[in-house]
Amino acid sequence: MLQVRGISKDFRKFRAVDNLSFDINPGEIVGLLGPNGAGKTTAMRCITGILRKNEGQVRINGFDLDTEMSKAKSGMAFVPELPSLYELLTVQETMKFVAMCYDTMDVYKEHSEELLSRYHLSDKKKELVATLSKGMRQKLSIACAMVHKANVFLFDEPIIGVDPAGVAEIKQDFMDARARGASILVSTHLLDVAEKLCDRVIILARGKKLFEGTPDELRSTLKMEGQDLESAFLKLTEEVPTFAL
Amino acid sequence: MITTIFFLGWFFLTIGSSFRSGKFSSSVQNLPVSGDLLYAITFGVFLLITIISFMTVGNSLTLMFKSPDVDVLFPTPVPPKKLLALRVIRDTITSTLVPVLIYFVMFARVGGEMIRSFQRGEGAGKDVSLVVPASVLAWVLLSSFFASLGYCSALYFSRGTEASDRAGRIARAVAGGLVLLALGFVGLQMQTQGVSILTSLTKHPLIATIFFPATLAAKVASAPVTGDYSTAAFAALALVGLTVLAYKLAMRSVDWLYDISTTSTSKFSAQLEAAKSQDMVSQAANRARQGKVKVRDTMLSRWSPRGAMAMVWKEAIIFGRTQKAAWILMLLMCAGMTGFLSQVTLSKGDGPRDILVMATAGLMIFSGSLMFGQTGFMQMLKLGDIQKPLPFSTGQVVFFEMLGKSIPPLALPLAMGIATSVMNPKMIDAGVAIWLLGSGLTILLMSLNALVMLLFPEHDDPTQRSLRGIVTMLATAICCAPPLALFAFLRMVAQAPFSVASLLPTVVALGIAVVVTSAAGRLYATFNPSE
Repeated sequence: MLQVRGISKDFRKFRAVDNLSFDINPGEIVGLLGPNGAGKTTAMRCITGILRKNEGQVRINGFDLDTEMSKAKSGMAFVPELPSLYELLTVQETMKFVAMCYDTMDVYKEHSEELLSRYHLSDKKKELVATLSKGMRQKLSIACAMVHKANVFLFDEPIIGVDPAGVAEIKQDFMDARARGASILVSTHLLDVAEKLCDRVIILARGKKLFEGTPDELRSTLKMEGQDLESAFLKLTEEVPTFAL
Repeated sequence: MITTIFFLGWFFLTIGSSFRSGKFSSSVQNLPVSGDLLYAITFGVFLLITIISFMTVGNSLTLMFKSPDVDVLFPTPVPPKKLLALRVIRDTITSTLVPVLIYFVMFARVGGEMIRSFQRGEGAGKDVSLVVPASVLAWVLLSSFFASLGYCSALYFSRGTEASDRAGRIARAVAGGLVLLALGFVGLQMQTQGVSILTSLTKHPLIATIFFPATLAAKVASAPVTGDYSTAAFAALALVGLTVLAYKLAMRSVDWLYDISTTSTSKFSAQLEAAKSQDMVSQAANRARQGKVKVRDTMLSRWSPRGAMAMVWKEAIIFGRTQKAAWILMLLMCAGMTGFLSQVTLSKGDGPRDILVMATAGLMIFSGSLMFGQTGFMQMLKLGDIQKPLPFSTGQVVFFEMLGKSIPPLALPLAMGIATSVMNPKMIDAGVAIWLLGSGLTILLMSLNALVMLLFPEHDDPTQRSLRGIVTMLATAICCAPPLALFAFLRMVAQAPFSVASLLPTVVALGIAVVVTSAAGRLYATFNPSE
């Protein structure tokens, strides 16, 4: 379970994330939506401990990220927007490195083979990451997130650059993880994906939370029943093109 | 920019001053300068550019553009012929200006003295005031020929077709073969007839024919000395003709310009960026993309440490794929140098020799730590998104990164200690001190590298790169001073043996390293991978 309480992040005078709070329960997928520069990536980086937050608290599986950092991070996996990988490790070595860091070598072999096969990386396992395409790297990045025993997943734009078959597999993985009781936070620009995949959505703009609830609740709040999530999102974030008004 | 200013300052203060000072030119004043010598000197200068151009014939790097040119300029209706013409003109101007400027700034006085010396002797009565303008003209003609030839050959040999690859291989083999043949011939002549033969060899038919562009340019430049203006005019015309021919041939292949340039830009721009930022890992990754990095299943890759030690494992594997060759070379160099110096007998006794060995070891440790440290810590910054969410504190991440990166340079003091002790068993005490204190200093230097890298994290910014270098040196001087001063005190004042004198300074060095690493850990916690 992921609990975020009042986190804020300032970059000098600029407040990138402003008093953000939400929970993600076990077996739930939550979409983090917002226009460019809304603070989605910064929020995710604060939750994962990449950035130091100025205020607030993050609890992962009940462990405080600041005071019980190791235990908190052990149950969490993060996939950044741009696949950040060691280019001079092979695919297999990359997954092994992650498993060793999280001390999950006992299940690594069986689990890694299954993941490599699922993401069509089996024939690439001895190849260096440097030689992989962007889509392949993204798949490897997701496979690395799945290789240890995490139950809180944070994905920052996970399906950008992945082919349609890969997208379908990733979506299926999210749903499988949800069925296993994982808490998943997905940041995305793709509103149709968010609508189909997420149980709830959180909409950010200028670092502030504008809305939290199901897509139906959003439409109901905005009195836009029957319309798609995109229209509701644009209305809420005031990005509706003038010709559409 | 800072590096350039420092380099230029150093160059003008050291090498430049000796050329500009009266000393060098007055020594030339007294030399009898013959016409043959002047010809040989001009030929030698032109020969240099000729050999370089022969060696780079057909290189697709010539056709590299900036990435925005490929994405923005190429799709515009600007005719490729105009772009090619501009590039030829640009290359001619840049390749002409730099050497001419160097001549006028650095060698004008010496050159003037040589010409006057020639006029006082063999050249009496000749008007030699045209020597410099003729040389500049020859240089311009030669530069424009090689600029056109460079584009022409690149457009023919870099098309990526089987035929062009084969033709390129043949052309490079012929050019290389001719250069080797000429060098072999010169070497043979020098062996049988001595160095004095060099001047006359510049006019030997074989050399003159193989390096015909240099010969033609030298004929133009030396016309005021030889008085042979008709040959000079023919040579100048020949160079112009060859330039026009190469230019025309290049224009005939201009349809390939965008194709080859796009490929070569994507191929070289990443490599150049990585080279500029001194990032060995990115350079190796570029080589890997070209299939030039072999992956072998080693004992190391089968090892499975748990927890944060995995960072050391990862570091060792990456090091093996990036800097293993440089490390082995450095190891041999370090062991060779200290081993050699430990056997040197000095007239002032063993004391100065021991200090010389220790100082050399210190210098090698500093170079090794700098070489292996900076590039690795650059990756720690680039991969913040993968390393910071790992279940370790930022202090642990920096510590284990530092540990992983310290292992290869830690072999340097060990190798130097062993080499010193083996080559001169009387110096075993100094050998132990090199290993002990050297190891402590290596760890201290690596932690300083980590800290300085985090203070100036912009790896693509040349200003930060230069500042990083300066601050590293400053920090090294400040942090290494206490252990080194303590070592000197214990050795010289307390008269302790080397090995004993090195114990406490090693502990002090490690203590400072702990403080520096913890400061680096705190900085890493605030480091934003996006910035």
